[in-house]
Amino acid sequence: MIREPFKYRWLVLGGIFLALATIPVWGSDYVLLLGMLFCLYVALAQMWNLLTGYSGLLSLGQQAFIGFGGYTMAVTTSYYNVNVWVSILTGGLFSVLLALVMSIFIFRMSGIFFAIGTWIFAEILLLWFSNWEFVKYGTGLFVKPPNPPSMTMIYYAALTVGVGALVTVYLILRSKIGLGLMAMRDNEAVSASMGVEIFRSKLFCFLVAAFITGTTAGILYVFQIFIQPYKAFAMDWTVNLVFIVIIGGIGTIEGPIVGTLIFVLLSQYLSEYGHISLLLLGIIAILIILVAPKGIMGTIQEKTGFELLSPRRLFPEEPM
Amino acid sequence: MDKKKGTKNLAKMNRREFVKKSAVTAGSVIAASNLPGFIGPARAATRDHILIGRPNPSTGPLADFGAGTPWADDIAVNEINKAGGIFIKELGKKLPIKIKTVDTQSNPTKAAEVASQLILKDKVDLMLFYHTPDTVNPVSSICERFKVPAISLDSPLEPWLEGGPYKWAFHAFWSVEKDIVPVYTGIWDQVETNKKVGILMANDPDGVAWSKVFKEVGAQKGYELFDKGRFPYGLQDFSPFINDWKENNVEILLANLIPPDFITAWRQCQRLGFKPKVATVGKAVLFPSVCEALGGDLAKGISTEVWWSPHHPFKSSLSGVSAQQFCDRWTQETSKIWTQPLGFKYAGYEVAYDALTRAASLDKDAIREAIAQTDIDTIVGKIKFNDQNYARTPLVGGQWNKGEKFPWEIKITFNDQFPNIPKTGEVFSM
Amino acid sequence: MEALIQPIINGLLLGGLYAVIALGLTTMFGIVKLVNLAHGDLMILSSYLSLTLVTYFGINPFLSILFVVPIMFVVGFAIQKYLLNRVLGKEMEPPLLVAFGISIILQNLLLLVFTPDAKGIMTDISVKTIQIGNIYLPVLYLVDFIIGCLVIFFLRLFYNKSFLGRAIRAASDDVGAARLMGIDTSNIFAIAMGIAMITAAIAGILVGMTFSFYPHTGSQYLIISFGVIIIGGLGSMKGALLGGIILAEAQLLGAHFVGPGYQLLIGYAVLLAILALRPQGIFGQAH
Repeated sequence: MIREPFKYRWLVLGGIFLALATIPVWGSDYVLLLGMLFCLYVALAQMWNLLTGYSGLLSLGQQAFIGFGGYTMAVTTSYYNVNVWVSILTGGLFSVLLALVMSIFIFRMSGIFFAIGTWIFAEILLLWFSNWEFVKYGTGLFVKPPNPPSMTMIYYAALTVGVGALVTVYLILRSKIGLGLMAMRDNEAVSASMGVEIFRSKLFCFLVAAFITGTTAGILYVFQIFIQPYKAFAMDWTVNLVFIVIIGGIGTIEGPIVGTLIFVLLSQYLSEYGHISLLLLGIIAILIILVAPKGIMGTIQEKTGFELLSPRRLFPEEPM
Repeated sequence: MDKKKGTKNLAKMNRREFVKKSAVTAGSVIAASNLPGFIGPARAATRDHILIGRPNPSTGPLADFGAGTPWADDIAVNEINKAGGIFIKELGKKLPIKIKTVDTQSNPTKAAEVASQLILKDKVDLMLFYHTPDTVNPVSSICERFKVPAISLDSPLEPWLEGGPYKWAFHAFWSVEKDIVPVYTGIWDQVETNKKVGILMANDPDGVAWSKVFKEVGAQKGYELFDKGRFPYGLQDFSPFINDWKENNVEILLANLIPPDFITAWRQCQRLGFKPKVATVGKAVLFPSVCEALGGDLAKGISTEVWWSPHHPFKSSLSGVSAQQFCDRWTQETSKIWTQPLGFKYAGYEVAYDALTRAASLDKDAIREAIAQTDIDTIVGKIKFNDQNYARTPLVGGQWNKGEKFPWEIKITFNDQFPNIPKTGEVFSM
Repeated sequence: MEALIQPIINGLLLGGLYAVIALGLTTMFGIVKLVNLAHGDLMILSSYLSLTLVTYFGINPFLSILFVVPIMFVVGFAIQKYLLNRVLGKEMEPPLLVAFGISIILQNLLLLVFTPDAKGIMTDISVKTIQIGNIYLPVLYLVDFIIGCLVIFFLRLFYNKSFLGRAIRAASDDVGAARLMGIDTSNIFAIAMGIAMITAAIAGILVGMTFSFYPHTGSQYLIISFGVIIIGGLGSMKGALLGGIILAEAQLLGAHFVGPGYQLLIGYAVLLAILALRPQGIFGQAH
């Protein structure tokens, strides 16, 4: 159903962006930290949503790219003394290579087998890295760049990747590829007749998601200074992303944003009770799936037609 | 304050507008000072306590290490605050210390997060943390980045030094090369064996550091080491290792792994008929709870490192209480047998108190300078940081056996390097 | 060559255990077409239940099976009837995600109640071995294998010969027709899940006696279960036995040749290879 977009959406979006962009000016160090976490998780969540919510690729293995991108960045900058920003991008590129290798195996499968395939890959990487002398086994690496960036620079990198992820998803969905994917999502018969094109579109999304996830991980580990295989390749990442997107609204662009906000605030508030916060998130997620399966933003969209960022084109053609 | 000044200068303003404006101003000032550090540095000039951050592994595989908190911490804090606290020059009065303990869940990533929060949100003056590289390493790095003085204990020196060089973080514990090797090989020397050693070590910081050092030094001491490689946490089948040891007639076991993996491995050793004469196991068998989890008599005769015990002849610099008295109090109040981390948790506060008292200031540079000059005798031994920001604490060896008061007790069986710590038993062959 | 005999025999016996671990998952997946991502955690829940009974009432772990099995049946029944049945439908994701949520909730509940300490269910036979020449046969592995085979045998009998079993299979093949025959499908599926949980309970207790476990161990066994299913084929019970043996052999022989640290990795690599080459497994039907 075609609805008119929210009239003041660019104003609202612009306002939010301005607030985020100027945090280093008005916010305390703590707000800066929260803002950074928010931007990074938005990027990760958008990518998971792109795969699962739009491309029909349920991924239980995003941590493969997070660990691989993070480690690539750490090795490039600490061992080879490469500029930290270049290292982060290198992490993203290597993640794309990883995605290509993965696709050879798992793109033949669909549904749950695809998901398990991604998970198995992540577990293999975890075991491989924890047993690899080159990266100091399970000890982990300290990230020691030749030009250590300040907290503000890290924040702006996070903001860039967060906004970049959002823009990327928006553009992909509004393009031909996106139209094809959404048509497939809405109508199974269509996908059968579109065969190869759908395959290419899905692969494209998979590679893009790998790149952005790997890059985001690079920034995160620059901030954390320390990367270790058991947590870098842990299922915990997928758990958090699944909850974020489900609660926020799977298959909507705003969903991951809202979900991330809730997640970051909740986990900060309950950080001293880690298990309780996960328990709570799990219960909320299940309730949402049972009661309002489209998540917060999805249900709002359904009931009120309120959309800040619609991936659908409308008549007459709107200027971007 | 603002309101009063405003009144004098606002003769011309409409009364209503003025009330509205001042109410809004007052409201936002109150709101801003209540928001926990949200908008700008909203800290009032008056402080009434010194805040110490305490990232602690209260849950997770390292929970046994974290278990003595908050018990040991509270005792130390009460002793420090008894006479009002620590004198701070710039405020002209004594401030008590307050601690904020946060659970790291035994997870290095979480430890880093928790440390960042303590620094940025709670604005701690000093960070105090312990218990294995998984806690100590990431928190040290975060303190370095945000330039907050940090004191840490209870984690081997070599993995910590990898993250250096440090300016703000200070650490005290034993070294694998200088302490563990002499103690373990010393224990091996006490038993008649064919000098063949099987290595069983995980691929975590401890396992990697230990295996490296032992392989370098082992041969020098006349021992033959058999190493089939590192393994990840959660391994289920240790038979390749065990079969290799049996084939080569290994009589000494040298291990370092987390308790659950050791429980699996040791039981499999029994099943497959591998019975070494000496088993020196690092990290996994430090606590009586593990001995119990092993079941039956399986823990009998296992040797491990002892970095603190009631027999250590040291006293607290805060209250003069001895190690034995401290342990007795623990048993009295919790009905449990003493554990090694207790003394170290307490000692951290001794170092903190001594440094803060000498600094007499809340300025972080002054605190850091003071820590660097530390030279005190604590309940775990003498702590004096060198120019690389670390200090070595004494290490002896011990062996588990069925106990009289408690199901499992450990006796000190090797003290060559620190003879002032008395032996309470002799090494026996398993 | 002689040195290989030990790992080969160990692998055979371990394979039996892996098979019974995976059994509940393969029956639900193959017959009810539901992937229960909480399977591993439910199994570990059984381990903890047994541990509690053994610790507080001092009963023999094998005896605890009698108590844990009905409890887990009810748990499985309830989860299926009140949670999973609601999201069973055309789309693949909702049931997966609900199961995922249950898995996380279980793990964290176990963490809160039992703490993260590793636990093990101790029995007299835990360290006993039978020695035949140079080969050591751990008694516990043998017991696991025998019980595993028995469970598989009886389950197969149930699904192939009993009325209830066949009703379950019919209902999942064609829900509409089943209803016409007077079969209450929501209860049927709940019973199927309950039965899957019975096998999980037995598996959990065996695992608890053989290895140590803590709240996160469930994920490990979930991957093993998937491995067994992928190799053996979806919904096939004899496939589960074969798949379990192949996976265990891959792990142990891999460890023998490449290095013990790579044990799990080799297992997964073999898994991935089979996933890529013959995703339906040995006994499964091609998509």
